[in-house]
Amino acid sequence: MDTIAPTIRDRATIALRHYESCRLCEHRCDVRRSGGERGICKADATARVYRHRVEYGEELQLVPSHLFYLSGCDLRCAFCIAEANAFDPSRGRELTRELFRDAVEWGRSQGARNVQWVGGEPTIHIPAILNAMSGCERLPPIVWKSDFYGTPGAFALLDGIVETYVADFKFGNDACALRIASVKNYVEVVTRNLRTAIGQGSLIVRHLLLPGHFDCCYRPIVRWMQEHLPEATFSLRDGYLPKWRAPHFVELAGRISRETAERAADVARLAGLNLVI
Amino acid sequence: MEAFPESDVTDIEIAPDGRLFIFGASREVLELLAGIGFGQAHRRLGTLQADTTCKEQPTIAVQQE
Repeated sequence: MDTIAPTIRDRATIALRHYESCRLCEHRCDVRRSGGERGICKADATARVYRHRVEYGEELQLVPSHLFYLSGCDLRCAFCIAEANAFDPSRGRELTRELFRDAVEWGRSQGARNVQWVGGEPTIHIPAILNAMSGCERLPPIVWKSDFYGTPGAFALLDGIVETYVADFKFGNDACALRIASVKNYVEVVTRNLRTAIGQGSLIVRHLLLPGHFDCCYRPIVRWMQEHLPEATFSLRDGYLPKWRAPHFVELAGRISRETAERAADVARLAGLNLVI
Repeated sequence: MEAFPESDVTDIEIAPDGRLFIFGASREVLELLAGIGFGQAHRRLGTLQADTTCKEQPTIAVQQE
């Protein structure tokens, strides 16, 4: 990966235009973040790391993984368990080349196999992330964990740099996405980006089972995966917690039962998906 | 450089039916759980030690942010 440093520097330069008129995510706010304007994500041109650590709970093909958590997000999922950090982009330390370089060396000393950008949502901070990585002489493989609501332009900036994408496929229809996460045109955007990502690197598609959304969200996601991306890894999560505003939604106030989780796994297996649990 | 101080925390949620959900598991947390007989943590550690590139299904549920 060392040889891609010039590529990253070039991409970082190109990416800066989004801080003049931001179209990194499909909200396409067109705000001048370099001048302090803020769009739906509320982020300006400074990315902040509110946590970084080496973790062992990710999919086995990724761990030990050095996760960098950036504050700020373009979605507003009612069940977000990190809302304080995810929705306030002023939290954390400024992401600089120096911070990243030192942190990467620390992670390497702890046995990390890769660097994983997470959020909030890293897509809204692509220019700052590329700038930080451009100062790293020994860059580990890059993992990009995202809500996949980015624009084609955002994914073009990552092409050839990201080795593994981890995509959150949260909702199986636009009505649930709008109601729960205040996001429009969700399915078309995410499925378009999944098709893009599978051509750029390896892909893990995660789905967090939501209570009360088995038929409206889970089954359509499995069907789409079966038809379009059966070769991708499908990571099924049943650890839903009714955090943040979830109690305001009747069905989201509960939890996923063991029986529902097992039934979901059976559905994925019957569909022939490359399932990990 | 070490991780930020707040980065040291691992969150654990226990569902009423006994399932354990871990967010941000460090190696030390897995070793702790394995040490108290939590078989899934033991199996995960064993898998990691045997082959960190294998794709055996992980057995600990991890919540996402």
